[in-house]
Amino acid sequence: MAIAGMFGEMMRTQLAVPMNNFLLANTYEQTVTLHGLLMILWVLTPLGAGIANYIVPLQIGAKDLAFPRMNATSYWTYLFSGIMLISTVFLPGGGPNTGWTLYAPLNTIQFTPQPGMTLAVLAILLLALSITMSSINFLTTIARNRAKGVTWRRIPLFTWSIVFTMALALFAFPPLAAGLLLLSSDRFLGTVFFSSTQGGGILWDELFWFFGHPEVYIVVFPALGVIAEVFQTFAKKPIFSKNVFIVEFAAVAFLSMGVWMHHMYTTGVNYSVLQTFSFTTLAISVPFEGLVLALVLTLYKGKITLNTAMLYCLAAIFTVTLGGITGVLQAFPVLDYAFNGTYWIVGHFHYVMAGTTLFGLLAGLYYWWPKITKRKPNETFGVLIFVVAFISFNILYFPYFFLLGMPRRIFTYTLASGFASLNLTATIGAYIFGPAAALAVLNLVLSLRKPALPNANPWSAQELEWTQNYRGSTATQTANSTENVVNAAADDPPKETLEDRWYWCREGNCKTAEKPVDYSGKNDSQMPLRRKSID
Amino acid sequence: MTENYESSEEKKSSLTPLIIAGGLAILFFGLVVYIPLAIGGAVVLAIGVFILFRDSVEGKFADLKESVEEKWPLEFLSKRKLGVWIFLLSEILIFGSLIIAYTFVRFSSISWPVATQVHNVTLGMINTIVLLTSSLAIIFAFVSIRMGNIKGLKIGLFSTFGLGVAFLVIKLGIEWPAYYRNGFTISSGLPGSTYFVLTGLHACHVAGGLVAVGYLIVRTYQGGFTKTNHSAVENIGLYWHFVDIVWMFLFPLFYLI
Repeated sequence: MAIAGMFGEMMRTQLAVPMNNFLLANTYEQTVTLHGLLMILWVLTPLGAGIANYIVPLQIGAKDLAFPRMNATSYWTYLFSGIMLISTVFLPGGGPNTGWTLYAPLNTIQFTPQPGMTLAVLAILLLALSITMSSINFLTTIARNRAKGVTWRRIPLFTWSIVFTMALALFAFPPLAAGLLLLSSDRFLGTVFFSSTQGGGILWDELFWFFGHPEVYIVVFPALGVIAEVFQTFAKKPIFSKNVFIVEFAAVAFLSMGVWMHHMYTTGVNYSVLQTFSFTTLAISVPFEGLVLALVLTLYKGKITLNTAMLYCLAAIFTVTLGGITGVLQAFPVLDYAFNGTYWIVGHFHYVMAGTTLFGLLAGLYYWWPKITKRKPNETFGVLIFVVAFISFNILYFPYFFLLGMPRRIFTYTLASGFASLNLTATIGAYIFGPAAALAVLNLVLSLRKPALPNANPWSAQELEWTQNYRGSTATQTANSTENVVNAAADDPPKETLEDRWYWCREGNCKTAEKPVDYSGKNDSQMPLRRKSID
Repeated sequence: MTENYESSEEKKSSLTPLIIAGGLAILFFGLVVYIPLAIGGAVVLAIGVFILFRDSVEGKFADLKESVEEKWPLEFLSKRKLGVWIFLLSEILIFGSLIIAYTFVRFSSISWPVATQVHNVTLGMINTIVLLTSSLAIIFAFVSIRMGNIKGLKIGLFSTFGLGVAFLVIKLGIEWPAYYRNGFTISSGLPGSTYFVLTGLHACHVAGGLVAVGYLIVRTYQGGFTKTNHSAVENIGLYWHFVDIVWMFLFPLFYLI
């Protein structure tokens, strides 16, 4: 519905953030804050939801989300809250300048008296409302609006990833909203939650990070879902042990709500708390590595087609692994004390969040672009841009791992500190990466000028959104869904249920399409390494 | 996503979401920048909600007809009811976080005033009974319409509405001014801050519930509910019970211990 506008807004939001180092201290602080807030809350979080808005109904055979009006309200609320946040820069005193974590008591009116800060708090509150609406909508849709035959076991992996994303969002955003409510009452009504010593910084930390850590997985899950879909299609193999994959998703989602204290090691929590959260943090890396491992093993002995979408996915796997490894190190309180507040941390979360999510979701756009627009982006140009983007991404963020001594959020540094050359390298990387990312999107937009594809399933993908039509009899379909006409004419498959068509194809009746891959998980031996790849 | 809609009836999109979201944004913006603007925003928001209610009363909410559905394991829940339950879950998390925040500051404070000396337990008890009775009243309304008894529905809804108003009058009209006279105010320290913010947010939820019950009353008079078609009564009833249950936590936490 409003998908084009949504992406447009996201890109604009993204570009509104200057990466400029030549700013005054206060301006730099505002830039850091707005970059963090916009990127994490207004770009990465809703970008997955934006793609899901189009793809999830197709994958489960629904016509739309369960509550279309609520969906529209959610979108407009999101848009206006974004405008509100950006407009804070124009208010007297400027925007928020506390860093995206808005730590207390820096966020109280005593230290940040500017109205821009108050407006930013309300903007985030509005965004939390928008995301809560959208998670209610997605969860209801997936639970209730599945077409016949789409049982829980048959639900495609991207939709599964959205199930867990939205469930996490449902649990993570209300505590944030509660914190923001307390904060706004502090700023409006003169309550003393965050300026008192009994509440203060620790109260905010607890509320914020209880949201903050699940948020990381809210950002990363849709990207993992996309990677799973893309790998299945371009390696021509079903995912390595689908059921385990989903259970691992659930395990990560569950554990992610029990690790927030690792953001607070240095706040003076007592030793047993420290140990507990160190343990949970290590524990969460196990199912998460399981997810990554399953994705990698999907490629093993697969017939791999290397195209743009696939390359972006491989890049995302690379960044999530590197970001993950650097993250696990910080699970140990001892190391965390050393790394806390340095560019190492910045490098770590940019690899996980920026790298994985942006590359993964770009892959999603490239992969589903033919489905959405019936046009295929230019492959050569796409690959070229990918190479530039991937290399420049690493030029941009890899030096951060060597900037161990450099505190984050400082607006300048002396020559004697020795940070200069690495920072310069990073800046050069940023100057290449920004335009490259823009060109990758431009490539998609330019493809709109091409004529429509004759075949609506150019990847020969086997997942439900490509192969199924769901809407009544296939014979009456117009040019909108060519693949169904083709299949119906050539094979005349049973049209009653998905189940019927599935088994009918498995028995070898499909002539036009390749034999479908069984994604159902029912026939998984759980020992896929020994299983022949299906060609 | 227009291509996913097949009949023209489903294609038309509504302006209401834009009005509601815009109203909210103007309201928030005005609160910070220029108060009259906030009033304008509140008006826009009210118009949006009004249009939403009017459309709903006139039955303009045509659900998309999903032909075949796989519902397991939720066959017994309607789509809207499931939505309401998930919404209530998010509400539980908001109030849960706030109650935990309250517990947190109370435990980290060295001294905390004795509840019975600050709060008026009698009024609190009366309010508890009022709110519990209102839950009974909305159950009465629901049971009546399930048997097709429109008169019972009206009695139930009006008593719910009346009891809800009584709750707010006792709380905002009698209890709070007395606290302010005694110097127990929202900015007088953490005991005041926690009390007024938590019960204030709860009062906002009661007020929201009153708007919803008002909608039910209007729709009843338009003949919107029948023996078989009364899901809105049930769903708003669920919300009303939730607000009631939150008070069941707030009352002992603030007035008794």
